[in-house]
Amino acid sequence: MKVTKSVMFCLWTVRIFIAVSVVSLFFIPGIAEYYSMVASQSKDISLIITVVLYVLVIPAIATLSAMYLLLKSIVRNDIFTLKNVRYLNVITVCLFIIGIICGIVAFMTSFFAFISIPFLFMGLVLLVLRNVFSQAVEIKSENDLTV
Amino acid sequence: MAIVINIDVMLSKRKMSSLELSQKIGITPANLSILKTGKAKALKLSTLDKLCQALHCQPADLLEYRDD
Repeated sequence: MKVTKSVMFCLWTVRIFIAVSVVSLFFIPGIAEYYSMVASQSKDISLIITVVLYVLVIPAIATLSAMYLLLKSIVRNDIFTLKNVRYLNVITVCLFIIGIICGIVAFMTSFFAFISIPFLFMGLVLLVLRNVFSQAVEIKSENDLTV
Repeated sequence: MAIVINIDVMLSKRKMSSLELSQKIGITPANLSILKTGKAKALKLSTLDKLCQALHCQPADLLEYRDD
């Protein structure tokens, strides 16, 4: 199968996002301080935002890495495999983790309120997609073993 | 699976090699191996037809049901 421009675009975009995530590590305290200044919040809120953002970087990078590996297997034309179902699983779990953490912290600062719902929604979409994908893997294996 | 495909038995009866059979019926040796080892989940009627034609036998000679 030919590697489409869309797949290559996704691959490069994910690479850029991984780089941005790593670089953003250095700017997290600045972002938190800027928010607390603009929203005229206390210094404690700035500290909470800093800590939460650092925690959120872990699932974010795990999601991006899983996406990268998933796209790599599409490039290798090795799509309907159990390994890819596991990658989708990782992405789903990470999105839910981000959504839940943001949801909890949203009670302390509204900064995370608008992040939580979209992430939980994306996690749900991915969960549905993962289930469809796992059915597709089963059908593919049955098809391969039909002589 | 409870259905066993006795290709090996028929091959030895007809004194034919697996490679020869796969070439005769137009399937890859890998697919023939899937059939022989019982890994196959389904068998197309067209493949069964070709197998019977190549081995000069009836489907019942190739397929057997074994109670697990």
